[in-house]
Amino acid sequence: MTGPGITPKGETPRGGARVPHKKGAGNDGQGSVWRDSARRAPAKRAGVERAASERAVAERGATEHVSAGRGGAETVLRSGVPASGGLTSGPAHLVVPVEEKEFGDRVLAAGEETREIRRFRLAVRRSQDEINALRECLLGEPSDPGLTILDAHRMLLDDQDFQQRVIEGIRLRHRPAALALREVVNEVIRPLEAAGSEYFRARSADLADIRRRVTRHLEGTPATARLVPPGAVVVAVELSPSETTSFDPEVVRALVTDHGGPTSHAAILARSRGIPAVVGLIDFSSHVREGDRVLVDGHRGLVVLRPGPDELRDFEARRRREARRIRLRGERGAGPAVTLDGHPVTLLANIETAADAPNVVRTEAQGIGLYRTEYFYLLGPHLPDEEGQYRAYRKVVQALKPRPVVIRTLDAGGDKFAAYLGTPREMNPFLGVRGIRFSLSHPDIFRTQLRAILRASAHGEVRLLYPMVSSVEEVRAANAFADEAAAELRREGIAIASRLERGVMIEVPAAVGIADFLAREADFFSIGSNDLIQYMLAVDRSNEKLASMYDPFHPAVLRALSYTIDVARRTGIPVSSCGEMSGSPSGAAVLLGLGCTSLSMSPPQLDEVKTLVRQVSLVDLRRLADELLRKATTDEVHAAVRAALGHLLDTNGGPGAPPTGGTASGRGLGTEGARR
Amino acid sequence: MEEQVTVRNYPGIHAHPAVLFVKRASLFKSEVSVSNGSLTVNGKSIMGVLMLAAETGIVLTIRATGPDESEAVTALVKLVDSKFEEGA
Repeated sequence: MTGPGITPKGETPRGGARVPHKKGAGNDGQGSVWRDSARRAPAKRAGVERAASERAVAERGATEHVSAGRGGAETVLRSGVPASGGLTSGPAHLVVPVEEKEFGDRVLAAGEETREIRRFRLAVRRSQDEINALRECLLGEPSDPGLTILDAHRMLLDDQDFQQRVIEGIRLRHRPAALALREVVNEVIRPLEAAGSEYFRARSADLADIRRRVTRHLEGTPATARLVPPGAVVVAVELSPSETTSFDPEVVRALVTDHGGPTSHAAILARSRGIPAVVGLIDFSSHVREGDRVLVDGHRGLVVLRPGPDELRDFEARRRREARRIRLRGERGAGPAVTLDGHPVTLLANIETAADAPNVVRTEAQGIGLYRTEYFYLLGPHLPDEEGQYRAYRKVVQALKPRPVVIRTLDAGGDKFAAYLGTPREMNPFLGVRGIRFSLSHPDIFRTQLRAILRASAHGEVRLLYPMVSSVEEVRAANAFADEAAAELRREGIAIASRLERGVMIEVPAAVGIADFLAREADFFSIGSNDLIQYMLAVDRSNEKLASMYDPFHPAVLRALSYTIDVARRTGIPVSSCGEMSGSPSGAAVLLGLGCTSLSMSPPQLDEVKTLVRQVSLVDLRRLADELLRKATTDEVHAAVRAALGHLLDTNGGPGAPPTGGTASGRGLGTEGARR
Repeated sequence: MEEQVTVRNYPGIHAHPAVLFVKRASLFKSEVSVSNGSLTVNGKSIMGVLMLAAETGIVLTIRATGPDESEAVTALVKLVDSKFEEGA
């Protein structure tokens, strides 16, 4: 599930993170991966001050010293998929799947069978309770294959044939319950393992998890969970749903796994329980020994094993800085998002899955500015149905009520659907059948989603948003679909909102060019700066060689933003911005100055942007924006922004580094990478 | 009463469709069995249906005996034939 912009997987050699500074983007002594430079794309994040090489030499010396002192145990630094935010450290606790333990080939003594059968029945009942609790937690999530696996588990546990076979194994063949269970489960999954399709084979492992769950209850050891020393970082190749639910958030400090994407069970549950987590670390666990210290940055998906003194120092410094920033924010940022000269600013949150909604409710966000729906489609072996989508949308809408929720229709390139739609791969998916183009050419899929969104609109304030629009015809066609779906639902007697606002993403240069025409068709604009920048500048934002060219402060980008915002203001439709730019203080300041006073960002960025809002006056920002629009080069724009706002942007050591694409910010799930 | 049907959904009757199949089968009083070649299983048992390992393209025989056997067979054939997309 790693999309572009997510830090490349694999090992970053020590010191390798320190690459020569690329350009005057305002970096300021950000030498270590642990220093907060969260808004930079990978290449920039690694960027350092001009004296980088000397520092690197000095620090490498320190590391070598440490390694020798620890008997050759190397420091290992990895970057994976940020799954649940938070900065933490602790001793590693390796979780080995229960079933790998040996039960032996024991045969029951005469008369033990009855007790063993009773134990089995009790373990089944406990497993059922656990599954029901877990299902509650996952309900309304995108069609993660996990939920359907849970259904299968539940049904299997209820299955008389299944129970009977295990009981027969105990009674007739005198097997201990755990062994009898293992034999029956193996019998069930054997045909699946022999199946031709990779998918079937993979699912057989999911099914086998039922064995692990029941065995855990049989052994009386909620094993994996009980054995975790308090304050440990749990490290595993993969955590099964049964294991994930057994962890106590009070005890476990973080979850770190080799497998898994942002919507795997471990990720969703970690988020809903507030445990920092990094997944998709490939083979990280193989380097870990029990008790080794692990540093975890759930915001950026970084882990460091056996950190040396310099990493520890940087990590602690970063943690202190984060704590201080939160405290300062508490002082300066307390109160509503209003500028010094009294102008209110609307701050909204971007989310990816329904599980994110409760987190948003806890923030001061005034609504969801962008609910991406790609994960419904990118997971699972089949297209999401109307009911499943409806349930998820409703969950978000009800949680946020009365705050508005902007739901963006599917925005993924056609290449992502190859597996189950048989669509051909495209030479250049960026310029291919993406976003609204895809939806319009797949009416059934589009209609299903529109119906689900419309049905959710009965439960709160829902707005519809079309991605990748490049022509007026597309908006008209999409609106016709929406009208048709609404009429259909009314005919069926299903409740929907009386009127649903329909907005257009401005993220293709063509849309900027016809913004005035689009304003007649749409109820609002949402500027998708990530793609707008990449299309305007013809720079692939996931291409590290071009990372320094991807810059929201390019004069052409500023002009496009300015024009779009002016058109919206002139025609009287609301405009907001939902790219990475909105979530960085400097980017937000420029957007405000250009006249966009509604900003949507990933939830962890809200505080920082609000703090900025409360310390600036809109009059000054407008003046600044006017000045910026007269600059001919990106560097001049950066210099002017720094001169005007440097004192406010300096809280984390790097004055207003330009926000860039990629997922460096926030939980990192905010990437639009899911689109590809 | 029995009828044959080809599995059309991709990648086949894995966990989710198996759950749907068993739920549907359990609505009927008749006994339901399903065969994939020489393997015949109880159509109301998830364990059985999973063991079929029915991948796309495989032909299943659905058999029912009981008071509502023809309704059961018709409903289950329709479910498989509709790629499990009709209302669950």
